[in-house]
Amino acid sequence: MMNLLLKPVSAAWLLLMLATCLSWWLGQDHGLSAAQTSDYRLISSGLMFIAFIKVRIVIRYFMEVRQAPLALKLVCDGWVVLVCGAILYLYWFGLSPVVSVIL
Amino acid sequence: MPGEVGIWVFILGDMVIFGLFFIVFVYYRGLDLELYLQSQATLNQNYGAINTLFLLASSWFVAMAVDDMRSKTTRLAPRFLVLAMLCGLGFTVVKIIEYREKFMAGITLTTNDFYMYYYIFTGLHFLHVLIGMGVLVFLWLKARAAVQRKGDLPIGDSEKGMMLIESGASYWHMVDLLWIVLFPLLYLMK
Repeated sequence: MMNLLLKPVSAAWLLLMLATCLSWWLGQDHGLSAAQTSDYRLISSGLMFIAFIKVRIVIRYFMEVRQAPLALKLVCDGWVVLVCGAILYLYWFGLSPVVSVIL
Repeated sequence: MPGEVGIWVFILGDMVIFGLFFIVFVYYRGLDLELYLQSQATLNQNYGAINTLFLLASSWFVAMAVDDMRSKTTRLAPRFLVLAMLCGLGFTVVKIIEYREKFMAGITLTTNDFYMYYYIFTGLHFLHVLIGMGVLVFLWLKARAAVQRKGDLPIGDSEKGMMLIESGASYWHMVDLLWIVLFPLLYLMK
């Protein structure tokens, strides 16, 4: 039992629980959400970023992708980077900059 | 490879679909920010956070069970899986309470765009949780059988058996992973 608790996956789990509590606290209204202030946009971006770090920890340690073939590692990391990047980009800028480049 | 190739095709396919959901949501949110923020303010963040903790704990228990079965000690694996199922059940109960509150307040799928996404995303995810609970029951039965066989899995040769266990576990971790993104996306992002 003791040696199970000392495995990397347990440390990963502890980190995930702490990160969730941090997000929970950050997500509470600290009087910043009344107006869409730029501070709050940074906090929201931070929350998203934390979420995708958690996702990567789940993939690497729970799903054991850190011991998987390189191809699977790359596909998983590609998903994390693309989806997180797209969310943050659209959150800050929307699609209008892309559209204006195309037109 | 942690699990069979087939399960990874399924997992990655599911992740791509949900990834597109997330992106579509953020895009439409930007077009009608006021409405999305007002609607989001009615969600109970505590439910979302508690459910994240439930799924994280559940995932950890499953990881411990897999580790135990792999090392052929297996005495702890069925207990870990029962704990994992209890956490899954906790998620289910919180989700039902949350849906019920929303319905009682007259909020449905057609109330507005935010709630439409809220119900579809969390509903599809909830379906994954329910299927996952079935997977956990399967893993638990295999783990119990392994205890009786002094550590040997009852499925084919042990390598194949372990592969099946890992596949089920990976699916459950994916359910956890999707919720980790849904929580800040729907409940927290201002």
